[in-house]
Amino acid sequence: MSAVKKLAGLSNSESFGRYSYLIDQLNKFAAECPDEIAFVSQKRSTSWKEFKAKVDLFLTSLKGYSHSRALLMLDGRSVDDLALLVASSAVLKQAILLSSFHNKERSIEILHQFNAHFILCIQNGRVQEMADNLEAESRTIGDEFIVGLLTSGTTGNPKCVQHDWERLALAVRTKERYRGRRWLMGYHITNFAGTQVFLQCFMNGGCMVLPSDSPPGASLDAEMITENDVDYLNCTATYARRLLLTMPPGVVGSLKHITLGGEIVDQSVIDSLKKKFPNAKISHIYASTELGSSIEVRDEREGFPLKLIDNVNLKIIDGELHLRPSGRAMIGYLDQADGHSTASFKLPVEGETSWVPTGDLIEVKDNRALFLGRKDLVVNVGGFKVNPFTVEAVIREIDGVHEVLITAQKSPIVGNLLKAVVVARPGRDTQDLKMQILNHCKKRLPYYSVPRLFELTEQLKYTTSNKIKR
Amino acid sequence: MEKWEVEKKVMKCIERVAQEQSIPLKQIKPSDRVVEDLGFQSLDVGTLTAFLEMEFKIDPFTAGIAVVTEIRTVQEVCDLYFRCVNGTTEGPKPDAGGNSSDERLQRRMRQKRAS
Repeated sequence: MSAVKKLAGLSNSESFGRYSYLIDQLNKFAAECPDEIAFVSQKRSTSWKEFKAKVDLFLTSLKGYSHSRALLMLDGRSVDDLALLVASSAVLKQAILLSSFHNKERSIEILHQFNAHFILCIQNGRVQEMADNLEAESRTIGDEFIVGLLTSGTTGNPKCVQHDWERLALAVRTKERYRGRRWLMGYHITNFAGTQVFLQCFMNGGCMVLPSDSPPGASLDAEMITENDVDYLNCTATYARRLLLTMPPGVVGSLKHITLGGEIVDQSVIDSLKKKFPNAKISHIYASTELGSSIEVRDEREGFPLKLIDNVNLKIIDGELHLRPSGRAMIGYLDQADGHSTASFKLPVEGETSWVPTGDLIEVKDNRALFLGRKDLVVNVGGFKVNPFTVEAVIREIDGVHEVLITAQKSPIVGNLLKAVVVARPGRDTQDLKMQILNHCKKRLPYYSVPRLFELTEQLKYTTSNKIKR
Repeated sequence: MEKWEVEKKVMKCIERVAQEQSIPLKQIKPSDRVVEDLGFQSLDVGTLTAFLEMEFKIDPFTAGIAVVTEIRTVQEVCDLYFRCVNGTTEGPKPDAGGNSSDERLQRRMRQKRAS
C-alpha cells in the first residue's frame, strides 16, 4: 500500500498511533528482512534488526517528552540520529529538526526563539537533553503534531516551516522494485529535500548510504558511491559539480538515477553528469520547503516544458513563477509574533485560489520555461538589470571552468560591476582562462552582463544546504 | 610614491581595460579625455576605477574625495591618485568656488588625522 493511501485512511482524531507510520514500516522490514542492510555509513553498516533495536531504545527514552516541543539535533552522518528521528515521529508531539552544525549558543537561541522545551540529541548511544528552556515549561503546546523544518534564515533568524509526516510522505512513491536499492543522501536530513530522500528510501525498504561529511560535501562521496553500488543520488547541482570533480577518471559508477534539486539546474551540469554516468537517468525537481515538490523534469533538459504552466497549479505573472499551494504545502510558519504563544501556527495564504509568488524569474523560449534566477538577486549594472544565474550558466559552458559565482561589486560610476569568482579545472592556465571567459561572455551576453572583474579561487563557499553561498 | 610611478600604474590600468574590452588605443597623452578621446563608456570607466582601487587601495569617489564629473583627463586621474596615495595637496589649484576635489581631499585628510 502506498504511503498516500495508508495515511489518507487515518482519522485526524487518532493520537500518537497516527504517527506510528514510520514505526510500522520499520517493524515490517525488521520482520521481513532483519539482516538486510538499512544504513551504510563510513564507519559501519546497520541492519534493519539493529536499527529497530536502536529505535526501540529511543522510544522508551522519549516517552517522558511526549507532550513537548523539542529541537532534535541531528547529524546527517549518524545512524543513531536517524533512529532518533524515527522514534520521535511516534512519540514526540512537536519536533523541530536542527542540524548539528549549529553551535550550542546558536542552538539555545533557536530553542528560545521557537519557545521549545528541550534540545535533544544522541550522545554515546543515548538520548540526552542538550539544553532546556524553563520559560517554556509552564506553557502547554497546541494540539498540532508537527515536524518543524528551519529555513536557512539568510536575513538573520530562521523561520520554522510546519509540516507533519503525513504531508512530507505525500510525494513518496512506493514500489516493490525499490526494495533494497541504495540511495546516497546528498542533502542534510534536516532540510526538506533531506526528509524527502529519507522517506523515499525508508518507506521502500531501501538502503541509505550516509554522506561522508556533514553537511554533505561530496569530498569522499565519490568513493561511497562506487564502493557501495549506489543506485540513486539526490543532490543539488553544486554538489553534483563537486562530485564530478572528485570522481576518478574511468570510474563509471553504478548510479541509475540522479535527481537534482534545490538550485537552478543548467544544461551544462546535466550534460556533464550524463557524460560521466551514461547509464543514469538525470532528472531535476522544482520544490520548496514551504510549498513542497511541484515539478519533476525527466527529459534531461534544463527548464521545464511550457505545458506545465497550466494556470491551474502554475502561472507566470510578470515573469515570475507563481504556484497554487497543494496538499503538499506546509501547514504554516511557526508564529513568532508572540514567542510564547500557544496558538502556534497560521496559514501562509488565505483562501484556496491564492497564488504564491516563488521569487523565481522565468523566461519562455522555444516552448520551454527557463529559470533566470532569483528576483531578489538581480543586480543593477549601469541601469540594466542583470541576473547572475544567467551569466554563471554561460560561463559554465566553458570547458576549463569548474565552478563560478557572479557577485556584485559596488561602483560609484555604474552602481555595480559584475565580478566572476571562478574555480578552474585542475591544470588549466588561469590567465588564458580569464580571456576565454571574457571572449565567450562577449559573444553570448549583452555588454552590460559581461563580468568586468575576475577572481580565481580554489574553492567557493557553500551553504549547509549544499548551495553556493551568495 | 613618486609621481612617475603613479602615472605608470594608471597607464597600465587604462591599457588593461582597453585590452580586455577591445578598445583601440593609440599613444595615450596626458591631455586625453577618458571618455571622449579614449572612447571609454561608463562601464569601462567603472572598471578602470575598480582596477585603480585594487592598485592604490583607495576609491576616491566613494570616499568623497573627488567627484566623477570633475576628473576627465588622464592627467587628472594621475593627479588624483597621486594625491590620494601621498596625502598631499600637490596637483591642480583649487577653483574659485573652494569646492574642488583638491579641497575635499584636504578636508578628508584633516578629518582622518583628527579621528
